[in-house]
Amino acid sequence: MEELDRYRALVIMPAFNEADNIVPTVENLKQTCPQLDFIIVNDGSSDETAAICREHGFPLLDLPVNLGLAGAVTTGMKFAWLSGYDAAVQFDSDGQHRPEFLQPLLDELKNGFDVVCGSRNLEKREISARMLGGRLISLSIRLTTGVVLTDPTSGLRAYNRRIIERFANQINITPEPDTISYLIGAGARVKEIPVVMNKRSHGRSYLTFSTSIKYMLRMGISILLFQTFRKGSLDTKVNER
Amino acid sequence: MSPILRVLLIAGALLTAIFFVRLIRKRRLQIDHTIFWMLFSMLLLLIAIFPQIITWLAGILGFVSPANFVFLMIIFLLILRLFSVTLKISRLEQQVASLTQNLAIRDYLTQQDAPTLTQNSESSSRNEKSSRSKERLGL
Repeated sequence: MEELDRYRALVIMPAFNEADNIVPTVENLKQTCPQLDFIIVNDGSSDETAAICREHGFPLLDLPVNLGLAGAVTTGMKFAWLSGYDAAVQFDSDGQHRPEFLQPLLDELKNGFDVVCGSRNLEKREISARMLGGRLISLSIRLTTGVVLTDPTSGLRAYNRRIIERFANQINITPEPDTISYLIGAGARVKEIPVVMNKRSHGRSYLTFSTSIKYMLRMGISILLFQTFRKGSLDTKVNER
Repeated sequence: MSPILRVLLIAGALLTAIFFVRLIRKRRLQIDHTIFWMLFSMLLLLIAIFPQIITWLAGILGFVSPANFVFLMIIFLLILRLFSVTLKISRLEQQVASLTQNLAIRDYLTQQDAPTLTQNSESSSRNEKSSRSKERLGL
C-alpha cells in the first residue's frame, strides 16, 4: 500500500473553448477518480473557460495565447516533469473520454509499459470515413515499426516518467500517432487497452475535411519518411529544448 | 542580354532598395533583416550594369541564353532564403511555445491561493511538490 501511495499520476486536461463542457467533465472525473491529481491547461480560450475553472477552484495552467493541442499537452507534461510525477494521462475536457478507464491505463504503466493507449477498436471495429484515416495511420505504423495499433488517433493515452521527460524536453514530441511510432522505434513498450468513448456533448469537433487532409499528410510524411531518420534511443540524454 | 531585361533588373533593384529603406525609416523592420535584400538589390544592379559578367559565366556553364542564367541564379538565391526563413520561423514558434508554457507554469506555482492538486486535502504533498518544481524552474 505504501508503495502504491507513492506512485503519483497527473491527469492533464487540455481545454480550448470548453466553457460548456469543463465543469461536468471535471466533476465526473473527481467523483470517479478521487485518488488522481488533475490539472487543466487552458489553451488561450476566447470564451469563459479559464474564469469558470478559477470560479470552481480547479487547478489551472493558463496559457496566455493559443498554442494548439500539442502545445497545451506539452505544458501539462512539463509541469508533470517539474513536479516529479511518475505518470501522466492525456484526458479530453469535452467529455469524450470516460474517467473509469484512467485507472486501468495507469495499471498497465505499473506493469512496465511506457505508453498505454485507450483503443475504441480492440473489441469491435467500426467502419466509417473517420476510421479510414485511423486505419491508414495504423498501416503506416505497422509498416515502419511492425507494431499494430488499432486506434492510433485515440487521444486517451497514459505515459510513464521517461516519456514525460521526452515531452518536456525534446522537440517534435507531440501527443500524436507519429510520436507513438517514433517512441516505438526508440524502444518504448506500447500497449492498447479497450475503452469506450462518448460522443461530444456540446460544440463541434475541430476535424473538418481540409484539416483532416492536412493531418493525414502530416502523419503520412512524418511516419513514413522521417521515421527512418529519427531513430534515437530512450536511453540517451535529452537536452534539446 | 536584352536592354529590356537590363532595365527591368535596374527597376527591380531600385524598388527593392526603396521598399526596405522606407520600412527602416518607418521603424517597422530591424536592420539585420534587410542585409540580404540590400545585397540582393546590389547584385541585380551589378548584373544590369555589367552584363558581360553574366554573358561570360553563362558561356562557361553552357547556358544558351544569359537571361536563363540570370533567372536560375535569382531563383536559387530566393530558395536559399526561403529555407533559412522556414528554419527561423520554426525556431521562433518553438521559442514562443516554450515561453508561453513556462509562463503558465510559473503563474500557477507562484500564485498564493492556487487550488491544490491532490483531491484529498489532508495530504501535504502539494507544498513539497510545488517547492521542488519552483526550484527546478529557478524561482
